[in-house]
Parts: sequence; structure tokens; C-alpha cells
Amino acid sequence: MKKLISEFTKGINIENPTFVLLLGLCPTLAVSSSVNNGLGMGMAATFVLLGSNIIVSALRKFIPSKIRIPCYIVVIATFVTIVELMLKAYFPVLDKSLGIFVPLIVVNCIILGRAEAFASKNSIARSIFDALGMGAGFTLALVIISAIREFFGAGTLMGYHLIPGFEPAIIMILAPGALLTLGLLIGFGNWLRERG
Amino acid sequence: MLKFVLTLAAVCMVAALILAGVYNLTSPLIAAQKIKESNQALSQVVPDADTYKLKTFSKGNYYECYKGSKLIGYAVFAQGAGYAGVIKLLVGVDRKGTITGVEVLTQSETPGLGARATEIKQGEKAPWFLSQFKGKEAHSLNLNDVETITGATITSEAILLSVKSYIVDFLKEIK
Repeated sequence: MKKLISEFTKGINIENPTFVLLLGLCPTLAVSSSVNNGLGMGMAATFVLLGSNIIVSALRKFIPSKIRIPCYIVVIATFVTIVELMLKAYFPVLDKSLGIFVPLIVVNCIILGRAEAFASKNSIARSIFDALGMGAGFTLALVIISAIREFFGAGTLMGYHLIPGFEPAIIMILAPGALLTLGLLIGFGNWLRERG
Repeated sequence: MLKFVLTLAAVCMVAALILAGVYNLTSPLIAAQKIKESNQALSQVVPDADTYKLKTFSKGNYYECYKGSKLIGYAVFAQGAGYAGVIKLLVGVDRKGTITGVEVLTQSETPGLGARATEIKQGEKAPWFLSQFKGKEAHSLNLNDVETITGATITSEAILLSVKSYIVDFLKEIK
């Protein structure tokens, strides 16, 4: 049980996909312009990650290693399509604001990376915890980045105005703001780790 | 070799079956959502109407909007090139040529800049940029009539110009 919990926590801290492994940076930069988008993207990716890790782990003895990548891609694409249809049917507003990035979860390297590096070699239970941890780490990273960007770039948090009269810096909500925020946060994380 | 083919085929087959199921489950909901959205836009741009008839003119589609049996206005589909893609609009206009409402149907403008065209200020019900068009004459519409979006001149102009060009041509045609 202790081992399972450490599979979970490693995704949040020492192997955080965004801040440490630097995987899935494209959607991170693109959708972190508001907390709602960040949270939605994080949860959608977590769902896909969980589904694909379970299936890949369950089929790990059945799938020959020579054709594993096409099989993983089919599994991942299936889950992404399910998420996309569900979002369109039940959360149309979120679907509109996430736009093209939901179908692009297919090529999010966190998901294929975990299938290849973890789920294909480990039991279903450990893969589930790995997926939940990685998903939580990704979601947390997105929420932190998008909270900073939304606050400084639009003067709001989750759509609510916080400080009346605060003039937001538009650069924070554009692409440079995403790179600046991510870079500073990674630097801050490295500094924290070096200090021990 | 045959094993590879069979395995991959089996994986794909299962995936296809699952997706077919999910698609069947969600497609009526998605269709209903689309209808709801377009009805919502219609009731925004021509508020008093209760029945709509879809018609076409040279530049696209429009709805004739009736209250009871009386024709009170039109809702015209308009579009133009924004900063980051096509902006599709639904524009309401009464029989005299006064704009009764503008709604953005789809846009892919920059978040925080052009996308603020659909921003709703706290405590208000409609997007501030679009509600400025209400009550303006389509023929005399120009850039000085509306407060443009800060940092998004291209988006503001694109919306204004597509409203104007579509409505002017439309009014000419139905006369």
C-alpha cells in the first residue's frame, strides 16, 4: 500500500510531468490562460491517462512489443474521442473554450509516455495510482500557471474580479506570459530542490 | 506476423465498437445542444419573435422572425475574417434597418484581447461590445459609433464591417 501511495505522490512532486519531466508543455502553454480552462484540460487529460494506463496495463501480456505503439495510440485515441463527445454533449461551454486542445490530448506526450514507461511494465493497481498521480500533478501545474496568468493578465480568478481598479498586463495572457510563468516556476522548483 | 495483424485488428475492432456506442449515446444530446444554442442566439438578436423561418439570400442564410403572424424582423448570418480566424455572427435587424442585436456564434480570437468581444462584464447580462450595436442604423454604421476593444482593433473592425456589409446587402435585396 505504501508503494502505491508513493506511485501517486511521485507524479505530484519528484516526477511532476510539467515541472520536472517537462512533458506535455504544448497544451500547458496553450490552455493555461484561465483557471477554468486549466482545470478542464487537466481533468480531461487525467481521465484519458487513467483509461489508457488501465487498458495498456491489462493488455501488457497480450500486445506484442513490436506493435505496441500503434496499439497504445488506438487506445489513447479512443479515450480522447470519448472525452470529446462527452464534453460536447454535457459541457458545451468548456468544450468551446478548450477547442482544438481536447483532440490534441492524443499526442500529449505525458499519456503515451506513461503507457510506454510505466503501464506496459506494471500491474493494473500500480498503473492506476501512477495515472492518478501524474494526472493530479499535471492538473495542479496547470492550475498554478493559469491562476498566475489569469490574475496578472486579466485581473480575475475563475472569472471573478478580485481587485477593483487593477489594470491587468495583457502580455501575461498571451504566449510570452505562458513561457515566462512556466520558466520562472521551473526555476523556482529547481532552486527549492537544490536547497534540499 | 499474422499474430501482429490479428492483435492490432482486434484492438481496433473493440475500440470501434466502444466508440460507436458512445457516439450513439451522445449524438442526440450534441444535436439538441446545437439547436438550443442557435435558438438562444435567435432570441437574443430578435427578442420579441416567437417563430422563425429559414430562408436564403445571395450571401448566405437568414431567418424571417414572426411574432404571431406579423413579420417583425430578420436574423441574418454574417461572417468576416477576424485576427485569428473566421468570426461567425448572427445579426438581428428590424424591418426599418435598425439593428436589434448581434451575437457571436463562433470565433477563435486571442483570449484576453479579441475574444473579449464576447466578454460579459460583472452584473451585466449581454457582452458590452456587442450590445453597443443595438439601436444603430445599419446603413450609417461606422467605427466611431462603437467603443472598440482595447488591443483588438482588427477584431472590432471585423465584427463591425461584417455586420454592416451583410446587413446593407441584405436590406437592399429584400426590398
